[in-house]
Amino acid sequence: MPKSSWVSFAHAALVACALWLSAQLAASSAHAQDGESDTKSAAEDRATSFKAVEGAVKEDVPGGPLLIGAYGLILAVVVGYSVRLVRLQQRAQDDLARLERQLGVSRSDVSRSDV
Amino acid sequence: MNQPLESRTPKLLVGLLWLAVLLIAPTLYAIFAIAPVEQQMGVVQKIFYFHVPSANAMYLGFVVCAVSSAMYLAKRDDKWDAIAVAGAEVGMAFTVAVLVSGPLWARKAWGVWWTWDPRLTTTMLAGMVFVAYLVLRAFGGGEVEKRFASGLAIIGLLDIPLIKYSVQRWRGTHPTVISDKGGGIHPDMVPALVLSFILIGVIAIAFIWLRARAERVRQSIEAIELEAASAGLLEEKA
Repeated sequence: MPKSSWVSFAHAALVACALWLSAQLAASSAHAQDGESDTKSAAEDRATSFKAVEGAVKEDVPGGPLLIGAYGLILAVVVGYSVRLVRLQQRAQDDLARLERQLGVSRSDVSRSDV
Repeated sequence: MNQPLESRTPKLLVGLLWLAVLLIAPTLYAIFAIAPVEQQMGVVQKIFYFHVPSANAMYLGFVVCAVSSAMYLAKRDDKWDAIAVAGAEVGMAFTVAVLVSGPLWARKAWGVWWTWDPRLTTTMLAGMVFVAYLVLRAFGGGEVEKRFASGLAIIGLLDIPLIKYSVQRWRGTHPTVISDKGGGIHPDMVPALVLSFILIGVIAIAFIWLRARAERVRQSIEAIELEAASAGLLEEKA
């Protein structure tokens, strides 16, 4: 093959490689500039799937302990206020006994209510 | 204190106490054996049968306090002051029941313990007003404190209709199960709800009555001590 033909072939090969490399670089830069294809939409980001339960049903927030807690609280309020009323009654009895001793009056004269 | 006083417990009060005791078992039976489990919320919905009557008892206590406070300001009779203190205490006790049982139910129903819903917020506001009333009465028993507390109770009464109608007037999370257009509950749930209303109502009335009587006795003792001290009849404590 004549020398001029090799030179021509080499020139053509270099041009082809340059064109190929340019095409590759252009394609990758185009991908980098295109942001939509890499991030999800808000709806897609929240997407979930419904699956059937396997095995026993387990609640995330069990209602039984909450129910027991609420009824226990109601009971505590009623019993606690009853105890308060009993203590008030006892305090009144103690004060009446003290007044009896100090003044020499009978209890029935003092422990009366119009309510 | 110019009227003759009774020393025995009134028969009606004794009857109320016995009625409350007798209603406990049937009410619990109606709630757990007759009323069905709610479809969406499950067993936690049964908190409803004490949560709503407790709210009504709270209204009753605060209304009694406010009305009695107004009567005290008008007539300056300590009897009305005693009833006002009783109403505030009982109303506050049931406010605690409402504001704790509600979040326990909300945790399951809404997924959160608390939200600044209009009804929840106004209920907490009423609780804060009457806490202020009770603190004022605890640390000051003079005439000025009584009048100031009475005014506070009357102002607190303005919050009650806000609580009651907040779910109908403003948007929020709190449900309206029982409304003017009819109850939104299963017929088998009605007996449990009715019995609960009666039981809690009777307990609230009995508590207010008992507390008012105790307060009247305390007032009597205080008055006698003051008179005796003025007359120099009380011995000095060693």
